[in-house]
Amino acid sequence: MRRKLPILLAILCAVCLVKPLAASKTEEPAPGALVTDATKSVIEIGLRYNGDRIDFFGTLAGTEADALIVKLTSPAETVKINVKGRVGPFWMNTRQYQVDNVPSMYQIQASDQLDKITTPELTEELQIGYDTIKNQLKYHIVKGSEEENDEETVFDGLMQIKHEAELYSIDDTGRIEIKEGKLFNHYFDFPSGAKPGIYNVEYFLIKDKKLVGKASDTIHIKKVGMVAFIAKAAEESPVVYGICAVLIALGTGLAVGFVFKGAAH
Amino acid sequence: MFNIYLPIADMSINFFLVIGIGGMVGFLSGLFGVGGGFLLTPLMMMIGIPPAVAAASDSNQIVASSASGAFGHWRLGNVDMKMGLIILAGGVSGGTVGVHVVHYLRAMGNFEFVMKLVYVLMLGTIGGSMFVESLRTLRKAQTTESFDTDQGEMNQPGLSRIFSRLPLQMNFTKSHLRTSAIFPFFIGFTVGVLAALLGVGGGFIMVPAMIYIIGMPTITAIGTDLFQIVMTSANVTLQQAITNHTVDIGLALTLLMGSVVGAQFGVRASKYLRGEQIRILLSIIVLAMMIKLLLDLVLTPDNVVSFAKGVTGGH
Repeated sequence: MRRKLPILLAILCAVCLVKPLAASKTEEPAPGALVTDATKSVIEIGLRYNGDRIDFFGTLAGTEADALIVKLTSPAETVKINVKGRVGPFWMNTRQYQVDNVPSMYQIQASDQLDKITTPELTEELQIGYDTIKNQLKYHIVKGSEEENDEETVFDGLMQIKHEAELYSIDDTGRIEIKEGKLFNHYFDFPSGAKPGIYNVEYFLIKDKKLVGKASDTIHIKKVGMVAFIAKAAEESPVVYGICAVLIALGTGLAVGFVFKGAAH
Repeated sequence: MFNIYLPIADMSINFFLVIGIGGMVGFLSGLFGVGGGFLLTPLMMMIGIPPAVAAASDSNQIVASSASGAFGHWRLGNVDMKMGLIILAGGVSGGTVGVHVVHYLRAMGNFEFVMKLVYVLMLGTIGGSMFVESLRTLRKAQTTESFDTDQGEMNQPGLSRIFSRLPLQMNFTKSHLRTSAIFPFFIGFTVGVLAALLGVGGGFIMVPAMIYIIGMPTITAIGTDLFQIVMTSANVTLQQAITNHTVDIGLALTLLMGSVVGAQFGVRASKYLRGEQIRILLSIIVLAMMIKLLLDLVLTPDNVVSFAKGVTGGH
């Protein structure tokens, strides 16, 4: 943490010189501007990509807030979920659901325990907590027939997948550190499974369990270079891609065979 | 840690893990003289590659790993082109049908189940019979009891008689035989379906079938098999790319790098082992793999829920 202090100060100087970036996007006429900045706003998925981390810095100076909640989400999507059941001695997919309104990524960080700084009404309003996700999901059976408690099963399984992929997390154990009541810094880890897309970072400023201001920012994850080229080619020109894959394999195989001549077969 | 992002599998994976798996399978294929596709696809699934991407990319890798062998045999005149083309006609038809079966099964959500089940049956049969056969040979060698046994070349005369009555009789001058084109086409078709479903080359079925059932000379069988493997796998790669978008060229080439080097060591290691020792080792590996896949099918899964080939993407 000490190591980052010079970076923090440098960034704070920089953000003081420019107009408040994120706060300018708030809908409310904030009484005091929340000033934030991040080490980057674009994550590039290249050949060496293995997830990324973005550090966020800001100051609550000029605001009346004494607590902060940050929510990172991606736009809700529709997914298809297979559910396994027992068929004789085997486990196989016996039914499939289409589930609407699933955020691909959902991470919450808070400067203090959520129940200390918010009320249940406020967390519901701000859509904070897994219960709010649970309430917004819509399930449609696509294949097979529904079984008892299926919605619960699908939700729990989905949560397990998202947690294992480190896409969902709620951390209110002081991950956001507010120094001297003003400066704060925190970071989000974007796991390698975070899909390309636009991610929203929302800041909720809290005082006495009430929302006193908010701001937002966006992070863009996109494929670049060879990864983008290959993914695009495979999707948009599958015939050309397939022919190239075969020709490259043939060429490489023959070249390698020439190098190791005599050893194979 | 040196990670590589696979553009089609859409995941980041340790480069050395992929190279290592390629190397290990390459080593085994060099040691045992088999293609190794039937080991590669399950191993890739074990490290988290989506099954459909594993199978399709494995086919792509097989094109590369078999190319120089096929070319070498062709130059030496070991490819029975007429027989190869008939088998290939079956292989291309089977591969195309197989790719569409994969597409259908993925849409139904049970591709992984069917694939693992077919693997269990196939690896169980091959591993089991190889184990029994090599154990018997080992025992015989140890006890030197010469009980001249049932090594009767799999009833070749009887089958030849049946084939001689089937229509579409042809002369295969390179293989010095006259037989019906129906069985070669049928075996090619079967291997084509398996290539699409499992990402295997099919040499382990094709070579014994050519030698013991069709009656081709061993070297011509191997040369012709390599020729059909390259062509069938090329067709499956292309079809998978078009229909299922599951060919990850990055994954295929990384595996190739490992397998090429591994194979060199495997070939050298094979000189220190006897034939039946090699076969019993391979059968144990094959059976272990079969048991792992069988357990996947019958044990209560850690999570009964999984993403399907989705509305918004995913594999």
